Amino acid sequence: MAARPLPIDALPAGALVSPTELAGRWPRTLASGLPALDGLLGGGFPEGRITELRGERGGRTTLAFRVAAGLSREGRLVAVVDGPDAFDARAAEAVGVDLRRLLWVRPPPPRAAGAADALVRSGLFALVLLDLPRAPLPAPADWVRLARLAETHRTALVTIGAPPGRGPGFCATVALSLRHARTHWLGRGPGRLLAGFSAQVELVHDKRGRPPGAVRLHFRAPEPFPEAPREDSPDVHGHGRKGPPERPWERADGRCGGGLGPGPLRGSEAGGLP
Amino acid sequence: MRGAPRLGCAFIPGLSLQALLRERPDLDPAAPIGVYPAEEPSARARLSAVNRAAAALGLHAGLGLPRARAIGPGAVLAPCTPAARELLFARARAAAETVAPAVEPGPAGVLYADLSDVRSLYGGEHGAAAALQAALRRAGIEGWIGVAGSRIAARAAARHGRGIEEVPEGQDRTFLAPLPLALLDASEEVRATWVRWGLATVGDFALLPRDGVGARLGPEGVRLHRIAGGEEVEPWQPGRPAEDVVESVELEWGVAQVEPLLFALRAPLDRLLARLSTSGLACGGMSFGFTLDPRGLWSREVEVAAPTREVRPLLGLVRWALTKEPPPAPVTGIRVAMAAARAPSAQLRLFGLPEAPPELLGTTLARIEALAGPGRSGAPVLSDTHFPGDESARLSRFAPPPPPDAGERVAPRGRTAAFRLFRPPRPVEVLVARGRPAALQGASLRGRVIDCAGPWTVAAAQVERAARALDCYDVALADGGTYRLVFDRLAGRWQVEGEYD
Repeated sequence: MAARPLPIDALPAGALVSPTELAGRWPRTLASGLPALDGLLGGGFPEGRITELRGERGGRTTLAFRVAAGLSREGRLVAVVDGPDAFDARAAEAVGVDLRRLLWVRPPPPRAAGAADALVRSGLFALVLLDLPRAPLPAPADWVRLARLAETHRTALVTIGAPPGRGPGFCATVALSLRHARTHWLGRGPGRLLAGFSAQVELVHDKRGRPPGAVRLHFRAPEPFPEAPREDSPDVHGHGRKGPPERPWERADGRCGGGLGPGPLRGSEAGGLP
Repeated sequence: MRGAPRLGCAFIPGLSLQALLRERPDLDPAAPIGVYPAEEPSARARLSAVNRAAAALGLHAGLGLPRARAIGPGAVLAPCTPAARELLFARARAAAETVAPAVEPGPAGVLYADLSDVRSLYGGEHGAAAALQAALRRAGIEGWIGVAGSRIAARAAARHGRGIEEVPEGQDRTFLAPLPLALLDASEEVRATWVRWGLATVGDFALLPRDGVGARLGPEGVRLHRIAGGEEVEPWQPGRPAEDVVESVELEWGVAQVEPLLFALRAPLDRLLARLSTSGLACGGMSFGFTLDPRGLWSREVEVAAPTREVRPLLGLVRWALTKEPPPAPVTGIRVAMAAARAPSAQLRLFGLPEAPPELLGTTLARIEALAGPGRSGAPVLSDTHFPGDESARLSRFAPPPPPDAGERVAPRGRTAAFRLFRPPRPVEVLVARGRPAALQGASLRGRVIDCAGPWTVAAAQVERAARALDCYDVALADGGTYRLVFDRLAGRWQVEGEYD
């Protein structure tokens, strides 16, 4: 049977899209730098869309910070709308965020969604991280508006902290559910250290057509005493004194000992944690 | 080649009368009106300006108020506030700066503009003078223009020409010669000497030998002699464009609520932003002076995160400020001063990502500050401390550096976990067993400690702050979370600083 030719002239206006335009409509991805997660998401978080990170803990903040770190290091602006007032700048820097390109907004809880709206609407920020307060949460209409704004201005909007059923829901292109799996320790007895934790990340839905799936991620604990910037330091003794910070848990041979803070985390970079 | 200096003088006749008519649009300009300074008590006040209709009744400047009421009972005699006069003069200056960049304010109602460099733009001196007059007229101000080589000649030409009058180059001395000596700003002693000498005009004084004048009248005499000869004795001080622009609003009755005040403020803020925009400037901060009912003044400063030309974020900031600290009494008048700030300009780039448009960034930051409140947004800056918690970072002005030239996506390396702070830290009661936390209980956090690491100690004795000594633990609770638990040794209390996430 001969194939019938496509009646191009009979198609309604706008039905035909060039490959270039189609590529523009398809959201680009923002890699998290975690190969397992980026593989699950087909490259990373979608640009110009809402990504919802569900769950009470399990690396939500870490994942959002990792995307922010990649964008800020590239030279793009990122913003954190800190609804519950929980942002830790030192942790963000430890993950790799360039703090000079990060706008930290601490609105009163009722104005968190409004602040996110203003930031997305400006079109200046490649990523807006909306850390939702416990109450009040944005109304469903707010999520629709935010989703449209994010798409128009090509801003990735990542939300965390929404209770089940009260988040962006199907306005989110990607929804990930995170669950704390296990805490890892190094050593035994009084000198043991927090090594990190594992999290189970499940892809709940992806409007781009990715199939649901799950991966397990491992994160290492940050150093309790990272080198702080030196500026107008008062007369501080102990670990806060001027000069290189004292790290009594590091022996001359590089091995961990003494019981203060974590040492090198064996096997974590290779994903070899149990 | 620049050629001889040529100065334009803009004289605003009846400055207080024009200011009054601008402030009170309900007055009919054709009706007889006399103005007196509001700062003087009405019993002793004298008219500072009258319009033509009032002059036809026999009123004139300098007439005492009771006598003026007796001569012209039908005339409107109204006070003019110093703020209204300042406002009109500031507007005139802003208008003059649109024609010539170098403008110097002179005595009351007089502005000098250097036309030497800009006359070619307007087809000559007369064109520049006409442009100056037109700029004033656009601002709703009547001005007379004089052009000469010296300030004194330009001012005399402006006052006596009543339109546009030019003194030809090199003819200042000749122009000034027939004018009365009152034109020169001399002390009472020198004036008395001139009367004794029988001098009447500037030319009479200029003809005297300078050495003899100096011997008899001293340095002031020599200075006045040089001015009478058409010389400039003071250096040209054009000054920078106006730092602040000011608008005032009088309210008919006392307003105590914030929203009506904001409604009244909208118009002056709009006008101030329009005035700044004409000079390519933006709002860098605001200060408000509220006149209270029945008496008293109350002032308030409002900072702006970044220069902006949008009125909505500014109104949002004012709303924040007034809601936080409302005026202590009903407000009957508002004086708004807006600090001028240069809107930062962006450098276009050949390679790499474009910079954020500064004006859009400034407007967005102002909008965010209006939403979140003053001092609640900015770039985090790490403090030099190893203490955990809130004091580890502070907010600073958000001024991102330009993007690097090679803008390529860099995925973060390593797998460091993030941390979420509890602000304020959550106080808990801790059951300690064998020197280690075994369980904790608080208002929003409780559970058995499954595993624990620590303690490590952070201690500091600072000059400016109280000494602190903290024992820090990482604890895993039965709810699945891993928290940082801190024992303050000096205060003797336990608290949870935050959670790993």
